[in-house]
Amino acid sequence: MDSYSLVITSTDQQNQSKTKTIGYIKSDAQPSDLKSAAQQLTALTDNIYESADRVAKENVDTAPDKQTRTISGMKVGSQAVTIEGNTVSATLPQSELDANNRFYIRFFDDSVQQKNGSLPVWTSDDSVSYSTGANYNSATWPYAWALFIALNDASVTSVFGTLDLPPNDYYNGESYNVNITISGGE
Amino acid sequence: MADIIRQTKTLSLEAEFIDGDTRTITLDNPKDSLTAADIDAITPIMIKTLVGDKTGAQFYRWKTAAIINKQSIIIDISGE
Repeated sequence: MDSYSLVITSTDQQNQSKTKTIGYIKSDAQPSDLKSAAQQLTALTDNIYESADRVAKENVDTAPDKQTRTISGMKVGSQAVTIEGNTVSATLPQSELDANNRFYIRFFDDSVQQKNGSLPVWTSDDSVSYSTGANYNSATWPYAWALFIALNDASVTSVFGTLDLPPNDYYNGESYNVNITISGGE
Repeated sequence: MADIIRQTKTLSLEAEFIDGDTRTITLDNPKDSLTAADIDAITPIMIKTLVGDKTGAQFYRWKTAAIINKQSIIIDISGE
């Protein structure tokens, strides 16, 4: 059975467009209901609703790094990360951004296959927009979680954010500073 | 160049599905005036649309809702 996620596009008070992936929705959800859900969620914020899209579930690399309860099982796009203390660094080629200037931060953890937990929380500075993506911990992809990071435009060359992993069976409440350099851009 | 202090505010909504699965939805720039009634009001449309990740279970309720304020200090290490 096909699976879909709801993606909401809105504009903030600085007139910057933001996208937000809400997660899995009913495959037979009516477009009018998806729009209403998107509008009502946006109405909880000071952002202005722009559009709602239904996005099909995408394939995610299921190769686990065999790292349990550790951020080291993580990739930014297809790139490996460098972890020093509580700072994660990565360089992402601009060619890996999709048509909507998005890339994934993906996590690999053997224990994720057993049970879902709360999604990591991503916050960033105002230089980028972002969307917290769907949890890909499903029967099809038991080892991978993903956050969608959507740049507000293609000229962004660096992303600075914090990643909070909520305490549950898999993470111990770690918090990381994440620095990502977008290479090959203008 | 001086240190840069950034304030961010997010709304963290923890959804619970009827199979016990949970999912956290974060929204930036939440309204300052949000109430429990505002959160409850969007429950019906969530029941019509959202499903859980584990078994595709129907949305059950909002388990927690929190507005998170965070301050980040980007330290100027340029030496300029």
